[in-house]
Amino acid sequence: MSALENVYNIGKPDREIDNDILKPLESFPTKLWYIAFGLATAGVVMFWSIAGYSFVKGLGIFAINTPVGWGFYIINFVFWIGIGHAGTLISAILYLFRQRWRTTINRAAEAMTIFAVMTALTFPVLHLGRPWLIFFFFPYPNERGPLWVNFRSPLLWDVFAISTYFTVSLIFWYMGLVPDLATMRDRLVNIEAKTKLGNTLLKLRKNVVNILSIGWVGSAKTWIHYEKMVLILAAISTPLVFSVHSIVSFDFATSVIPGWHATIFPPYFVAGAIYSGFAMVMTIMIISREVFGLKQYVTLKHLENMALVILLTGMMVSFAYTTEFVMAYYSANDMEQYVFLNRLKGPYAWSFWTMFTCNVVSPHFMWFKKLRTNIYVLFAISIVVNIGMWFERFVIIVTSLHRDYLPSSWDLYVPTFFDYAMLVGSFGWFFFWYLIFVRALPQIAVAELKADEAGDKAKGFGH
Amino acid sequence: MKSKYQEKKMWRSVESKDRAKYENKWDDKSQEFSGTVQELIDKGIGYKLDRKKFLGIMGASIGMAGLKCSREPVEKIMPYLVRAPEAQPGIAAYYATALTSSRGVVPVLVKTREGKPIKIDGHDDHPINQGAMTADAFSSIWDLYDPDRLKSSKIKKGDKHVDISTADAIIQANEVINGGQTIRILSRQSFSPADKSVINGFLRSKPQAKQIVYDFSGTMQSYVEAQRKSYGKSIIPQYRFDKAELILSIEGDFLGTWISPEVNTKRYSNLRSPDKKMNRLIVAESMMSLTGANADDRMPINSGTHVALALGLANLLLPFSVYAGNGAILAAVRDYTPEKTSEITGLNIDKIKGLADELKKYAGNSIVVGGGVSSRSEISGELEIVINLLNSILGNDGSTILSDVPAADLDSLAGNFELNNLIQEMNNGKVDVLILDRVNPVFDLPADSGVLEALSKVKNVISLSYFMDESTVKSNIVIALSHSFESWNDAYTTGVYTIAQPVLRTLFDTLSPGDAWLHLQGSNMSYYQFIKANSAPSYLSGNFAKLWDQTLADGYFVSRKTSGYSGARGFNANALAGVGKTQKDASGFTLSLYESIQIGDGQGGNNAFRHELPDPITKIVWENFVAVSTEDAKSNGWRMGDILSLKNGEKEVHIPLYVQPGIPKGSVAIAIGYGHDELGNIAKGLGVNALKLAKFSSTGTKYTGILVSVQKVKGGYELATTQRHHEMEGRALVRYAELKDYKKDKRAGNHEHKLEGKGLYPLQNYALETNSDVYKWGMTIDLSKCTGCSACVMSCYSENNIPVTGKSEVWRGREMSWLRIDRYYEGEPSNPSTHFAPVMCQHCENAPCENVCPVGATSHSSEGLNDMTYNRCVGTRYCSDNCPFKVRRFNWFENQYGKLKDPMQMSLNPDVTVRGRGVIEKCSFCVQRINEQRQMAKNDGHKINEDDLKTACQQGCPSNAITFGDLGDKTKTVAQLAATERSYRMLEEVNVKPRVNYLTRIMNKG
Repeated sequence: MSALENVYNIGKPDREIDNDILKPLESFPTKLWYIAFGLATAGVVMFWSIAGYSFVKGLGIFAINTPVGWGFYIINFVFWIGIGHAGTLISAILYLFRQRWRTTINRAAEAMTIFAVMTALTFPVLHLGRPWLIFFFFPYPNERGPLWVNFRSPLLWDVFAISTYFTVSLIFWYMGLVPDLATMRDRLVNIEAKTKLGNTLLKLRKNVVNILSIGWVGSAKTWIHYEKMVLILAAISTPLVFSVHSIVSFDFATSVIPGWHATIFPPYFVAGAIYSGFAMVMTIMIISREVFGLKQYVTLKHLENMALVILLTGMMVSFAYTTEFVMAYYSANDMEQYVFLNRLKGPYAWSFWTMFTCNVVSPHFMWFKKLRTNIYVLFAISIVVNIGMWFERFVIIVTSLHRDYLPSSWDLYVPTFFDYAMLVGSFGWFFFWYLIFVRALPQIAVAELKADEAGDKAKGFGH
Repeated sequence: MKSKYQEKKMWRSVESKDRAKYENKWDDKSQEFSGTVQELIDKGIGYKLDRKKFLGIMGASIGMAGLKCSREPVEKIMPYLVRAPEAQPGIAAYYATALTSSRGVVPVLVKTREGKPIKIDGHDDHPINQGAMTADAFSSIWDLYDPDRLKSSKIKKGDKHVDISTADAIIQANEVINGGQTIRILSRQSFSPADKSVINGFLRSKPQAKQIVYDFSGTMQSYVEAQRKSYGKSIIPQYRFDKAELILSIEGDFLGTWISPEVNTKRYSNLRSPDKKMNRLIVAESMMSLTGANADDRMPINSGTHVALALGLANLLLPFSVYAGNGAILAAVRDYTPEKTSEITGLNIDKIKGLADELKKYAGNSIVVGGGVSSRSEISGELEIVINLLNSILGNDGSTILSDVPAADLDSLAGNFELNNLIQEMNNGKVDVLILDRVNPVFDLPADSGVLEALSKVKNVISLSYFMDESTVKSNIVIALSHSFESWNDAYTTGVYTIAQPVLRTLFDTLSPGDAWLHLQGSNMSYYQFIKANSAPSYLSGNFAKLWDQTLADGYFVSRKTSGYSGARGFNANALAGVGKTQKDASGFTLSLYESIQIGDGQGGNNAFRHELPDPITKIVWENFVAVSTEDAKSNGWRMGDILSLKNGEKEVHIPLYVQPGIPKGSVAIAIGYGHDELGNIAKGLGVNALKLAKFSSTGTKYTGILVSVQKVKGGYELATTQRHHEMEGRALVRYAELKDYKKDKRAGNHEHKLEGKGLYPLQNYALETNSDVYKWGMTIDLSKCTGCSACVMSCYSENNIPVTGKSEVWRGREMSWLRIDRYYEGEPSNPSTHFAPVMCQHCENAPCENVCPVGATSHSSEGLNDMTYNRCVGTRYCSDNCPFKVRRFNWFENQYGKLKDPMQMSLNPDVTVRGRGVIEKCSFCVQRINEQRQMAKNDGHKINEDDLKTACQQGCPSNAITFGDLGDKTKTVAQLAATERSYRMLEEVNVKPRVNYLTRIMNKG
C-alpha cells in the first residue's frame, strides 16, 4: 500500500459522488433502517429506565458488592472509551502520516468516536452512589474552603482526559463536516417536499444546515485556512489517542490491587483500545457499504488495511498479556502470582479463556490474504474481537477484585438482569445516535473524497 | 378588633380556634398597614416622602419581599420544663443495671442520651464479670426497641386476639385464677430472689397452684441435676478458668454458649499471655464449637459418644485417685478400656492415653468441663456426672471448681419428669389454669413431648410474655411484659447482689414481670417496693438505706466472697447408675443439636442484628443448616447448596447443607433456636426447627447421638455467608507459633522481611517527638487472647449505627459490619486448626484509599485517623476497591432513613452520623469517643488517660484482646504491646503502614 496512492479510483464526476453519498440524507429511510432504529430506541428506553430506577432505588440493583466494587459499569465504560479510539487514530494520526485510504472511513469512525464516548460517559456518572453530586468532581471555585477535588486521584485525571478528548473530537469532527454541510446546504435548495408538514420540516432542516455550515463558500482562501486548521487539530488530537486510555488505565495501574498494579497498563490499554476500535469500525463499515451501496468507496483494500491494523494491535495485546504473566512469575510476589493463576483456573477462568480465544487466537487469521479479503471472515472476526475486548476488561476488573489480599473477603460477582440489560442498552444508545447520524450527515467525507479524486492534479494531499 | 387583640395580650395560643381569631385581625384591610405606609398607599405618588423615610420603607420592603407569606407549621414540643439534675442534653448518662434472663445475669452500664438507652456497655467494676459481655447481651438493646414486641395485652375472642389494656388484662386474669381449681405455673429459671419470693407469695395465697420451673435449652437443668446427683446440691459452682493450667472440654462450649460464657472467656483469657502464664485447652467434640476452634488441641469425637470418652478417661485415672477403692465407681467405668473408648469415640488409643496422662500431670490444677445442648442425652446430666467424677478424681473440685460461693443456686429447676407429669395433667384436663411465665414450651420442647396438644386441653392459659410467640398465641389472656431495661428486678449470683433498675419508662402498655405477679395476687404494691422490702434486706446487711442507694449507683453489692479454696466434695457413686448405657449405633448418621452463638435457644430470635451477626465458626448468617463432615460430603457427592432430608423415624426435616471441617465422619449437627412459626416478623420462618428430631422422654431430652437417615433431596438453596474462602493461601495474615518455639525465640512465627518501600507521595509527618499535644492513635489485637466470640462486632454495630441488610444482601456480599472477624482453617479438613483475626479499618498511615478518592472524601487526620467525610462522598467506591483489607462498606440501598420501624430509631447513637444511600462507611476508631474524651481532658487540662478512652470493640471484648490508645506515648499499654516481638502489621509488605498491630497467636500445643 502506497501512502500517497488513491485506493479507490472511482472515476465518477463530483456530482455523482455527491449523489451516491448524500442519497440516504435526501430520501426517506428504508424499512431496514426503521427496524434497526426501532431496536435501538427500545435499547435506549431500557437503558435509561434502568438508569432511572437505579437513581431512585440505589446501585444495589446491580451485582457489585464488596470486594467487587466495580463491575459491568466500569467494564462498559472502558470498553466504550476503547471503541472510540479508532476514530481519532484514523482522523488524526493516519492523517498526519498521509494515509489517504483513511478518507472514506474517516467520517464514520469519528462519528463512532463521539457516540462511543457519549455512551462511555454515562457509565461513570450513573455508577456513582450519589450521581446528583457529580459537580463535586469539578475544580470550580467554591465556598468550601480547602475542600476541593483530589488531584492525586486517577478518577479526577479521567474527568480531565475524557472531557478534553470529547471536546477535541467533537470540534475536529464538526470542522471536518463544514465543507460537506455546505454541499448539503447547496443541494437542499433544490429539494421540495410534497406535504405541508414535509415542507415545514424541510425548512427547519435547511435552516439548521445553513447555520451549521457557517457560511462556507469554498474559496481557495477558505480552503487554505481550513487545511491549516485541520492540520493543527490533528496535531492536538494525536497525543489524545495515547493519553486518554493511558489515563483510564491509571485507574487500575496506580492502585495497590494485584492484577491492577502494573506498569504495562498504559501501552497495553492503548493498543487494546485501537484494536477494539478498528474492529468496531470494520463492523460498521461492512454493514454500511452493503446497506448504503458504498462498495465503490469503502473497498476491500480499506478493509484489508484495517485487518492489518487489527492483526498488529492484536499481537501487541497478546504481547501485553504474556508480559503480565511473565512479570507475575518474575515478581516473586505470591499475591500477584495468585491473581494470574486464578485467571487461568479460578471461578472466572471461562472469561479469561474467552478473552484469550477472541483476542489472541482470532486475529491470526488475518495473516492470510484470502481470509482478510473475505467479507464474511472479516465481519465475524471484527465482532469476535470486540467480544474479546469486553471480556478483557471483565477479566481485569472482576478477577482482580474478587480475590485480592485477604482470602476472607474473597467473594463472587454474579451479574443481575439489570447488569446485562445495561450492557445491551448501551449498544442501543450507541446505535441510536449512529443511525441518526447516517440519516442526517454524510457518512463519507465528500469534500475530502472529491479532493482525492481530483488526485495528484491538485497540489499536495489530503482534503 | 383592636380590643380583641388587646385581650390576647400578645399571647399566641397554639389552639387552632384561637389562631383563627388571631388571624381574623387581618380581615380589616384598613388595619393591614399602618401609619406612613397606609398613607403612602392612599395618596399614591402624591405623597411626599423625605429621603430618610423613603430609604427606610424601601429597605423594609426589600426585606419583607424575601419573607415567605405562610405561617410556620405548628409543632408541639415537649421541653424539659423541669430538667432532672443529671440530664444534660448532649451528654450521655450511664446507669448501672443488669440484663436478667433465664441464661443468667449480665451486669451492664446502659448509656442513655436524652433519656433513651442507646448502648449497652459491660460493667468494668463488677467483681465477677469485670465488664465481660457477649454478642447476645450487646444486641439486647434492640430487643427493647423491637417493633414486634407486645405493645399492649391481649385477650382471645373467638379465634383472634384483641388488644386490651394491661390493667384490664390483669383483672381478667385474676378472675380466671380465682375461679381455677388447679393452677399450674410454668416458669423459666430465674436468678432473682425477688422473682422467687413474689411467685412464692402467689403460691402461698393459692394452695391449688404449683410451679414448674424449666430450662429452655436444658444446659443448666442437666448441669444442676448432675450436681445434685453427684454432690447433693443443685448449685452451679464457680469455674475458675483463671486458675486452671489445663482445661479439657468434652462437648462443652464454655467460651461460646455454656453457662455464662462471658465470665468464662474473661477468666480463660487471663491465662493466655505467653509472656506470663499460658493455659492449655483441649477440646473433644463432634461439632466444631467456638471453644473447639480455640483449642490448642482439638479431638473430633463421634456425635453422642462424649460420655464414653469421659468414662474412658475416668477408667484410666481412677487407680491414681482417692476413689480408687470405690467399687461402684469402678464397676461403672471398668468397661471403658482405652480400646473400647477408642472404638466408640473414633479417637486414637494413644490420644486417649496421652490425654489421661496429661490430666494426671495437672491434677488439682485443671478443669474438666462439659455439657450444654450438644451433650443432652436421654439421661439428664449424664455427661456432667462423669465430668464431676473426673474433677473429683483429679482433685479439681474445691481448687479450681469452687462451691463455697456458688455462681447460682437452682434447686427449683424441674427436669423432664416433672414436665412430663405436667403435660399428662394437662392432657387429662386436670389443669384449669396454666400460667406461662416468660416461657414458650411449644417452641422449646421437642414436638413429641405433646405439649402443643396438651395446651389445647387447658381451659385457661394465661401468658406473661414479651412477644406473641408460639405458646402465647394459644393463650386466652396475654399480659404484655416490659423489657429488662423498663423494669425493676434484682439478682443474686456468685455472692454478688445486683439491683436491676429501669433506665427508661415503659415504651408501651406493659408491666414488669414482678409487677405482673404482684397484681396477679391482688397486691397493690409496686415491685420496686417489694424488692426493697422483701428481697434486698437479706443481702444488703448494714445501713440499708445507704447500701440501697450505693448498690443502685454501683450496680452491685458483694455479699459473699469466695475464699479461693472450697474443699473437695465427696462424689456420690450412686450418681453413676445408668450412665453410659446408651451408645452410638455403628451404622448411619448421628445427629447432634447445638446452640449457636448468635441465636442460642431462640428466645431472642426476632432481633435482626443477632441474625446478621455471622456465626463465629461457619460465618453463615440468618439461618441454620446441617453441618456435615468433608468426608461424608465427598463420598456422597453432596455440595454446598444442596438440601438434605434428615429422618428420625417418622420425623423429618429438610435443611440446607453446610460442609464443616472438623466434624468426624458420620456425624451431623444442626443449631436449635431457629424455625419460629410465630414470635415476630423477623423470626418467623427463618431456618428450620431442629427440635422436631429431638427425643423427649421423662428421664431427659435427647439432643445428641440421634440416629438419622440422611438423603439428598431435590432442589438447591443458597446459604448466605460473610466468608466464602477459608484458607489463608499461605499468606502470613494470622501469624501463629507454638509456645515452646516462642520460648526459644520471641519472634517465632513472626519472621518477615521488612520492606521499606517508597511511596509516590510524601508520608504524613506526625511530628510525634516534637509536639506532645499530638496523639498517634493505634490499636493492638492480641490473637492469643481473641476467641472469635464476636462480642466486639455487636458492640460496634450498636455504637456506630450500623444497619442490618438482610440475608439476600449478605449473600451478595454487602454486609455493613465495620468490624469483621476473619476465620481461617489450616491443616487437614478432618481436624483443622482455626484462626481468628478481627479486621477493621487499619487506619493505614499510607492509606491507599485516600489517594484515589476524586473528591477527597476520605483523608488523614493529624492524629493518624483515616477519616471519612460522608457529606463529601459521591460513592465511586474506588477507595473500597483499593483497600487491601476490604473493610469499607458501601450503602447499596437506603438502609436507615425510612427503613427503621418505630421505635428502632431510638437506638441510634446521636453522636454518629446515620449514613444515607450511596456513601461509603467504615470503622472510625470510634472517633466520636476520642473527640468526647479529648474535650473532657482539655477541660481538665491534661492528655487523655488511656482508661477513659476505649473504642466500642475494645470495651466489648471479654478477653481483653483489643487495646487502643496513643502509640506515640511509650508509657501507654498500646505502645508497649505494639513494640513487642509478637507485634506485626497485616499486609506490611504492601507498604500501607497500618496502625493496627496484631500480636502473634501463641498456641500451647504441650
